[in-house]
Amino acid sequence: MHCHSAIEAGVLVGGSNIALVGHPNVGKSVFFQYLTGQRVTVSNYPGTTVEVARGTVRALPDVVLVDTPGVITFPPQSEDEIVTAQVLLNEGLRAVLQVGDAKNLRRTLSLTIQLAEMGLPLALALNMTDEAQARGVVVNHSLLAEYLAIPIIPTTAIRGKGISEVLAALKSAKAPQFRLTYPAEIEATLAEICSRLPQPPISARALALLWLSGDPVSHTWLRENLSPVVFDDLLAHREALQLKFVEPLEVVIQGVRTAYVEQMAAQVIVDPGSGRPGLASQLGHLTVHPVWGVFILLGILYALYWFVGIFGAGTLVGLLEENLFANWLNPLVTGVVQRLVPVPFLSDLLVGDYGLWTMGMTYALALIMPIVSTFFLAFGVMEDSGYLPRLAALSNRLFRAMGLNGKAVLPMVLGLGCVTMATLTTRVLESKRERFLVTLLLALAVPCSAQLGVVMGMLAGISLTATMIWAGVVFLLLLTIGWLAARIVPGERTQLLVELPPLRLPVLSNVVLKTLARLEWYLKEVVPLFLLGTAILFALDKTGLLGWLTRAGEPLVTGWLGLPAEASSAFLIGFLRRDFGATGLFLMESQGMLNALQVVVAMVTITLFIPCVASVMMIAKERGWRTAVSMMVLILPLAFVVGGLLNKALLWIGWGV
Amino acid sequence: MSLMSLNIPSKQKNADQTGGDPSAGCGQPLVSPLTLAQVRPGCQACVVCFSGCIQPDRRARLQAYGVIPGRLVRVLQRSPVMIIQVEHTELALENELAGAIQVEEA
Repeated sequence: MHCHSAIEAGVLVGGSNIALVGHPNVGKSVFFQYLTGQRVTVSNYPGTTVEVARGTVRALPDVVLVDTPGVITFPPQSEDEIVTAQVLLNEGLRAVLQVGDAKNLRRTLSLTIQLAEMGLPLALALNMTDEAQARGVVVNHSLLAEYLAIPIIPTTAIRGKGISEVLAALKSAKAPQFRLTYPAEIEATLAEICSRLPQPPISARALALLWLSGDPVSHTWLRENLSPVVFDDLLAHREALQLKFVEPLEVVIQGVRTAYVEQMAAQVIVDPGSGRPGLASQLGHLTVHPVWGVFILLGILYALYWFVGIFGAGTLVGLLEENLFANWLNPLVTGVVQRLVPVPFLSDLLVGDYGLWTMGMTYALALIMPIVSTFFLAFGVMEDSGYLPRLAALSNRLFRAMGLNGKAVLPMVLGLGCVTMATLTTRVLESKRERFLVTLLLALAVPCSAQLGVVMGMLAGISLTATMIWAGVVFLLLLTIGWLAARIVPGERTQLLVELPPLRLPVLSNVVLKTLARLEWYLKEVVPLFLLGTAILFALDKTGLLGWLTRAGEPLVTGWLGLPAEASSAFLIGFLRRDFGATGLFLMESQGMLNALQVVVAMVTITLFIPCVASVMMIAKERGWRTAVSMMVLILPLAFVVGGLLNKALLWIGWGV
Repeated sequence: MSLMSLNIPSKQKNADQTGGDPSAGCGQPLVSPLTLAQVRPGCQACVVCFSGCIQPDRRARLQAYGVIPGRLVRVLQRSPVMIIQVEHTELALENELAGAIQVEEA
């Protein structure tokens, strides 16, 4: 139920808007949902790509609640923060509700000070009080309310505690009389500026302070609302003021605020709390310990291997592919189609050797889906437990060598489940350069779970040495290309800085919901691509091109890689169905056509091979077609070169023949 | 208590002062200032300022987490990365980055 008529993507007159402001991850959106329910519209803030949600509040008639993007401090540093500043400045707000983290009071108050100076009616909800209490943090709320002259409400939004008090406070919110005194020179300039400002939307002082701190939003406002003569005069004043200080004005102004926050905190924090000495905290410290952390990681990797590799790829796939699909479903569908569709071409398209159902859908549903489902489940557990940033901290040194930082571990590990999804996840990386480098490494050297199962199965069947040669070569190439690419691609490495949230037991329902959402994405985005790939294969087969391409590739495969001619078709198919390439080789091996050396060479080559058609499409979507094509042009020959070199090297040593 | 008056001494330029070591970025002539990277695990330090060599976006994020001049931080460990505590937030950061944060012992 949306109230479209009452809400437009723009400024509402009459001062009926209330803005929700706060740092990221304080529970703002929980508040917003609680207060607005379903009555929400989301639209881009005019002139930006930033989405702003607006909703009506049942308990507050005629009020529109505006959810601003998370802001850290003013002046704004990102497009999100600029939009928040614009909402505060340009929307004639009736009141502002800041949502803050109860246990990180100083950080919260740093923003509260700035909002209080703006002179808009303000209320502060100290959220996540349950976490604060668990840590023994005790704050004198009434004293704090006295200091700031605004209502301070302790809340726990996810449990609905304190929401009604917040609503009451908003109904009767008044503008705070709050004033900090800055150094004399700044005060003088402030007086100058304030005397020239016509009808400012927030307090003249706050606007002037923002502008002195280099804020672009207030700069624009001043330029548009003052005559050029006055504006230039003020610019000259600002320059003259800066000359009187060594540090930037922004730093001086922030220093005054910080000192005040410290003073307040000293008075108002009755008990700072002592962290959580419980199991979660100790375990948390162990996970990042240089020695124990590695053991824990190995344990987790093993659990992951068991759950995804053995349970998912083995048991589940066995049940689905071999029993459900092969024995029951596929014969049924094949029978029906062949009876209903008289044209052999069409029936072949659907249920033939390269049929859309028999190959495409079976692959997607019986093979890939169980594997990625188990992977997404396991990954969701790792996410919600708070383990992933710790993994980033542990693996940081490794990624440094490749011009990245530990955060890259997230997409790389996800790539072991599905490279397509991992490529999408590179969005969390902080720079374009990092996103490019990780995409390249994913496409080159990270085997997805579908392929990993077959590859490791085949290698395990030979010997541990075989597995180690494969792992060693792939890993070495990963490091080498990573190192080289970091040298060649321009730009600076981003140093690691992540928050380590407390370790917590994941809520199973949340994990399941997340997994279902990812599966839905997979079904909608990836499966059609597999069907497309199958259709291409079908066309290639029917036109005889498949045979031609296979024969064309034979000399390369036999002479350079030392594999039988049939392997050529396995590689070709491997592009469309990454595991099929491996399975084709598996069949050859079970028929005794490959010796140990050939298996290892084939596995290495197929691992390094260009990723499946879905991944290539995702790379094109995320990084552009030019990047995607150039990567493929690099990776394809590289895979063959490395495979061939390995072949020659092993022949020379005489291993595996 | 609605009106608060504070007089904070700020680092102002005098006519005969050159402003100190430019790389320190704090206007104080220090030879080698103490950085967060040098603080031992278990100890607290008070943030003084950021070195001029710090990447601007790293500084912005540090400030976002509450690592600002005047704030107390506690070092939890230094290897394999530096882990510090600011109020009730734990942060992991590279030692290099910690080396760009100037502090004084608390």
